[in-house]
This record gives sequence, C-alpha cells and structure tokens, in this order.
Amino acid sequence: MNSLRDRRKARGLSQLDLAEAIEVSRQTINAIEADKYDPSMPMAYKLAAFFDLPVEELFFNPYREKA
Amino acid sequence: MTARSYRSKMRLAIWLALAATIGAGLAGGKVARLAQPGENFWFVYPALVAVMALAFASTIPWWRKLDDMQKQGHLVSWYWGGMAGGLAVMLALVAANGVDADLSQGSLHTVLGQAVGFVVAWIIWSVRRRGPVE
Repeated sequence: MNSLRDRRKARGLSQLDLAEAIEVSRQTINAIEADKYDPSMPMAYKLAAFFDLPVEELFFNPYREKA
Repeated sequence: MTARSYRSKMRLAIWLALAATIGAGLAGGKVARLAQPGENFWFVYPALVAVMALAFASTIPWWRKLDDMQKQGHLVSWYWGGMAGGLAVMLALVAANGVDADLSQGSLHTVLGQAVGFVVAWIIWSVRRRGPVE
C-alpha cells in the first residue's frame, strides 16, 4: 500500500512526468501505484525525497503497530 | 544545453546495444566461416569470444539505465522464458534425431554451458554480497 498516486496527482504530474523526474520507466511508476511492484529501498528513498516526505508516509509499513 | 530526458538516454542506449549486437553478429558470422573441423580453433574461438565480449559490453549502458523493475522483468523472463524455450528446443531435437545425433549433442552441450555459466554467475553474485558475519 502506498500514497504515490495521490501525492503525484496533488502535484499535478502525470506518471510519465514523475518517471522522467526520477529516471525510471513510466511502467514502473504505474506498477508501484497499482501495488503490483514493491520498489527497492533506493527507489523508495528517491521517490520520498522527490516528494519531500519520510518514506513511510509514501510507502505504508504494514508491520508497524498502529497507534 | 538541455539535459537529455530519461527516455531519450534509454533510447540511445538501446540503439547502441542493438547496433553493436547486430554488428557483432555479422562480424561473428564472418569469423565463424573460417572454422573447419580440427583447424583454426585457437584463432576462431578466441576471436568469437572477443566479439561476444564486445557485444555484451555494448549492452552495459542500457543495463545500467534500467530501473529495478525493468531489470527484474528481464531477469525473470530470461530465467523462466529463456530456460524453458531452450530446453523445449533441446527436447524436440533429441526426440526427432536421437540422443547421439550431432544436433542433439550440440544442443545438450549448449544447455550444459548455460548451467555452468549460471553456477559461476551465482557464485560471483553471492560472494559480492557477502558482509562481515557477526
């Protein structure tokens, strides 16, 4: 689960815009948003840095207990 | 000067890899014609290996530009699709010509080479990822 699609749309970016910005393919952004692919840690950090967020606000941690 | 987009850098890398691979295929084909049974092995084999190495090297820029998911797609497809396709052809050749036929033997040796290459690559991969054991 992640909030990538919402964050991207909030910035008014297309999947291709975001893909170009972080130098990955559009298909990769599409697969991450659709929960069909879990990114590597470097890619997750790159995306989090792009949106200026902690990684867990972009990619939810299912193992952390909910407060 | 504007920075190249990821897509155009990728396109350039793909064209380089394609052109070099086709060039290697043509050059390798010329060199392979020099091979005769029992002759020229020590010229033809190293020359073909060198051409293969150049072809591999030409794909490095493309491979480095791929993201994690694209790389995983290629690795999974080569492992499952490539192995299944190669083995299916080998089995068909064996079934059609018998185990001792030259075609079958050539095919069996190719698969054997793949298995050895897999083990060597896996060992290198495994050793390169080793850290201190505590």
